[in-house]
Parts: sequence; C-alpha cells; structure tokens
Amino acid sequence: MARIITKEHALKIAKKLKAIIREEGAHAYAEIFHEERLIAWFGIRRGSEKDKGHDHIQKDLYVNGYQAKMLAACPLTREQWLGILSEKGKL
Amino acid sequence: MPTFARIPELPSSNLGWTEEEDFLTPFNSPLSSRCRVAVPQQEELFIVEGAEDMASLFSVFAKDISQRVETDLKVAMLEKVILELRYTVGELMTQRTIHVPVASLEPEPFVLKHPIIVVVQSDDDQFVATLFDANMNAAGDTQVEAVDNLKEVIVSMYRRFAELGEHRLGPAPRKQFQVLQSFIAPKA
Repeated sequence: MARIITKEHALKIAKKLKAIIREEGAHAYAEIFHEERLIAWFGIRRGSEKDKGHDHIQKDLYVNGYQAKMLAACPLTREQWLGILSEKGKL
Repeated sequence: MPTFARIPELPSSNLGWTEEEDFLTPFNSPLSSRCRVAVPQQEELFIVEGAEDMASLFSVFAKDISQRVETDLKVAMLEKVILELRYTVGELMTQRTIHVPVASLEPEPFVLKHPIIVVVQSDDDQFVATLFDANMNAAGDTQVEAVDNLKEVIVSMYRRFAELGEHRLGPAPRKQFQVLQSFIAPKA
C-alpha cells in the first residue's frame, strides 16, 4: 500500500481539526472534541522522522485515504469532516 | 488432388507480349527486324482442374488458421491471467498479514480477561497493528513494535476514556471504551 499519511500530515490534520494533543509514552494523542465530547482521536508516533507512516489515521477518523489526504491538504475543512462523521452516525 | 496444366515458360521481357516474324520485309533488308506486336495472351494461363478440391483445400486452410488464431487468443488470455495472479501473489507476499494473539498487557497494571487477536499488516516499510473490534491502530517499524505500540495505545486510551467518563464520549469512542471494558480490567 502506498504511503498516504505521514507524520507531517498527521500534525497538519491535528491542527486543522483543532485537536488537543496529549502526550504519553511513545505516542502523542490527538483528541478531537465536538460539543465537549470526544468524537475521535488518533495516535502520532513520537520521533524525529517526518515521513513516518500514519496511514491508520484514515481509519481512526472514519474517512478514506483520499479524504484523509484532503484533510492534510487544504480542501477538506473541519466542518466538512464533521459532516462526514454525522452521516456515519459517529457524532 | 487438383491437377495443373503445363504453364508455358516465357522470358520475363515477353510477359504480355508475343513475338511474331515480320514476313513483309525481306530478310536481308535493313528494315528486317523482329517486331513486337501486342497480342493478348490466353486467359487460361493457369488451368485448374478440380476446383471443388481447391475449395475444400481452402476451407481446410481457413479452418486451420481460425484454430490457430483461437489458440493464440487463449494463450494471450492465459498469459494475462498469469500476470494478474503473479501481481496478486506479490501483493499478498508484500502485505504479509499476520494474526497475533495477545495474552498479556504487562508491565501495565491491567489484565486481559481473555486473549485478543491483533491483526498486523505490512505497509511499505512499517507495520500497522489493528484491534478491529475497537478500531484501534498503531504503527511500528517492526511487527513486534507495532503490537507493543498498540498495547500502549489500548491502555492509554482505556485510562483516558475512564477519566473522561462515558457522558463525554462520542458514539465511536464510547463503543471503543465498551469493547475495551469487555476484555480489560485494572489489576486488583
């Protein structure tokens, strides 16, 4: 499988989704809250390599690879992602 | 078998032409020459007897050719199928999915009520361990590291879910917490 989401992407996604970063052990956890409830989270491996793979984030965020990439780039906004979660009954 | 009449041999320069003596000019006359006169040649140059046999021969040839074409097509299709299978096997060999039974969360102060099965998949130069029941994932440079990281994630998120309380969990995290509670318990 081709690498879609790197650590750099993961950090961008965390910032875009206004995630709260919690660090524990070998991971940092990006926790996304909506209306004061935790609706999704994903782990980010700690370490200096920016290209470390984080393809599992798409599963953690209930989106496909393309949408994950769009989250990391500009097109998909937090509101649009919330819309996707709402459609899937995850909100 | 068809029979063929003798084909008259003509020099190539004479094709389409025949030579006739010019008897009108005396032999020793300077005008004497062998002149060329256009005379249409006989159309029955190839005289074929047994045309029906020829037709049946062509039919055999045509059938043979069609069989050859059909065989070539089948071979081409089989080659394509083999290539696809080779690609698929290559993908499977690369992905190397394994199922790892996890029986302990040591050294964390938690016990497993029963072993859990973690799926580890290769992903480029890393491995991703997944607990499908709870949709929890972690990556690592090796299979062992990926499983260890997933154990850490499981314990960390269990603590976090418990800290937040169910009322602060959305549908997906709530389900994850419930799944975790079904097989994890703090050590007494």
